[in-house]
Amino acid sequence: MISALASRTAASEVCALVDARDSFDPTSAEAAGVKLKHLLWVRCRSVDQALRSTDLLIQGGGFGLIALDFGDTPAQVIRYVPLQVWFRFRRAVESTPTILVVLEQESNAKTCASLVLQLRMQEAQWSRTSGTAEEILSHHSPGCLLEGSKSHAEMIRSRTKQEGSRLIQQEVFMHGGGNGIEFETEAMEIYSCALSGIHSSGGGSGKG
Amino acid sequence: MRFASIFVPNFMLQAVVRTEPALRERALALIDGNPPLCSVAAINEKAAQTGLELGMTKMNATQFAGLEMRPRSRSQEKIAHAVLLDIGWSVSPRIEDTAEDTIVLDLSGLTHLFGAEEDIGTHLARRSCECGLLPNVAIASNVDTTLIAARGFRGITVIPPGRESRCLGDLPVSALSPSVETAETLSRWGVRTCAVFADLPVLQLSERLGQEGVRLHALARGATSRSLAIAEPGHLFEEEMELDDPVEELDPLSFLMGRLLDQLCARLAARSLAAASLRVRFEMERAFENALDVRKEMFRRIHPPGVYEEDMQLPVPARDSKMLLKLLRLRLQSNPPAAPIRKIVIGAESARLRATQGGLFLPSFPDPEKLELTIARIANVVGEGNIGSPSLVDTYRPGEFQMQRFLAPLEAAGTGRKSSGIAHAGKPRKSFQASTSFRIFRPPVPATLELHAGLPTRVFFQGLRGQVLAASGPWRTSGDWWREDPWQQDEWDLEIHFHPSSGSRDTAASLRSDCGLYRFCYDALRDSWFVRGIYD
Repeated sequence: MISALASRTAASEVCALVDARDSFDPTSAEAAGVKLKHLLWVRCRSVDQALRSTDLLIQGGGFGLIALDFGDTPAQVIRYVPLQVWFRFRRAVESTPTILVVLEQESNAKTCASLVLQLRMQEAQWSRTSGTAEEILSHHSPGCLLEGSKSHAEMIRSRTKQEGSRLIQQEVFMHGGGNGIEFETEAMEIYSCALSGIHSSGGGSGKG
Repeated sequence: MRFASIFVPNFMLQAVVRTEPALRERALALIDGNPPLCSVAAINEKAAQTGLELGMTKMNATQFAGLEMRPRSRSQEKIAHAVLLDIGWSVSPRIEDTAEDTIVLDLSGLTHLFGAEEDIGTHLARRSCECGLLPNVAIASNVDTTLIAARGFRGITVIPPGRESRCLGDLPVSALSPSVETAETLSRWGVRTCAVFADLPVLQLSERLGQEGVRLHALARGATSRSLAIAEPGHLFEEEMELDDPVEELDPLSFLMGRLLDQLCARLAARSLAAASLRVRFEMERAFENALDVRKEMFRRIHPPGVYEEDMQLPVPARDSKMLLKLLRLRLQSNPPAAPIRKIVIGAESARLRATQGGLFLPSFPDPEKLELTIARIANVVGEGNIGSPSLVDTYRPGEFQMQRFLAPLEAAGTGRKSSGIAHAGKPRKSFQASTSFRIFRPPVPATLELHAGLPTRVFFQGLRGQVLAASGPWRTSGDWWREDPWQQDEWDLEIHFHPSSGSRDTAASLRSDCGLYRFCYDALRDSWFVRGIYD
């Protein structure tokens, strides 16, 4: 999600982040390339606030990407969101150039989503100067540094075509992790195809 | 050189009717003075037809059926005068603030913009009507002639050069504003009109009436010449309304505010300006507290009327009254006044309208006015301080940032979206530069750690137990020791494996799997551990 925001804000688009649990970190986001002055951050305290804010942002229009972050919200809470809410979002956004990304722990929008990606963290990557992988290294740098994590991304469902397709809404849910630095080869191709759909839809006929 | 004069007849009455246009069709009288010496200060034609006269007492005036009475409002007269000046400045940069009900404009060069002088007069009259005033407009070659003609003739009057004496001839000599003695003398002589007065020999007139006679003679012939005393344009636009009955509900208050905003925006439009900020001020009804407190032997304690003030900065200057009203309503919904309202004052700080031109190949951005409305609506949902644009603070304190007002960028980067779209269209990227993000727990989650030889081995937080698989740290930081709130903490990056049977998974720490990468912090000043966030 942060990478998508970085990508869109780097293209000078105005983006919005609806943060359901107020977990956004501006410091790491800026380090990841997000242009904070192009980002509207809505800090919510409940699912209801997040959904209402998302609705208002879509109705207001003009945003390149709206990210709805339910990553920290328990899955059983999101399950109670009626399906008509997702339909409403889809109907509101499908005729606009806005990309709506919903990040959650399990897929809830079902057929309302144009693209569903499953991201799974596989293993953390540490830099070690010596020792085996089984050793616990806790000495101060440069002995041990957290470099990131390896993740697996898989396209579960896609409604869009490969070339020049219009990506309307994509849902990304996580199992134990999110975007990482490296991907397995197959997953990387799928993920990058999906995101190229995002870029091309952004330059499509809806904008001008 | 040509001049135009705008005169508002029955100014006191028009100032009040401006805020209540419905009164224009009814018999209306203005009451002035302190009780019990209130008397009729101004009446309109319909009231005059009923037999009402100026100077009647209020008690006598109430005998007339169907008569509307309103108190004279000096504040409304002040605003009406400001409106008159705005109308003048909307046409000419050089105007004279002659009187409360009269201004004079220099029309030099304006025929190129507005056309013939009749068109200029029509434009001035129409613009005045839009702002709620019904004036007389007169155009002539000298200032005094325009003033006399505007006061003497109804509607729009254009006096061609050289025809001043003939046009003013039918007016009574009282239009020249002579002194009382001079007026009596002229009346004894049987001089009733300006034409007769202008035919008198000036030498003999000066012998009998002195310099005043000479001056009046020149006025009657339209032969005076003077320059304008130019007034400085003002930048404060304000409208106010006093209510007979206090208003509590938002809907009727919105209706009244909408009317004031319409007038305000009309004045701004007349000067090609827009509102950069709005200032709303309510005078609220007096509150009564503890009507009778026997123990303290006090009767009703009357508190002075409260004042509610709200300042609203606009992201871009705007003069859409409907949009401004929506913003005001949203602001009042989130911060309502505490008592019924007796007086409404709305002021606007003026600025030039923004002029931007969008590019064909630039990414779109939200319309600033719509965006402001959207942000105001969301602020009503999540709270005023919970929406905006984050900006980092120049400090090493972890997690420090501030929320700033979000402004839509009006300029885009040189490389627009289309170019990036072309570069990537149809070709998937070979490598995508994703990066690990960090999710913060707000507030930080208290934790307990077991250490072995200074190294974390097990963690406990929010009912969860976990084993530390890998650790990086401690990364020691501190700062702001010169302030009252210094900080000193050790940061650890831990890879944790949670026991399957440990606690509830539905926690704010969002346990999504059996393993996770977390950042733990040890606060050295408070001697406590907490979880700052999770790597995602």
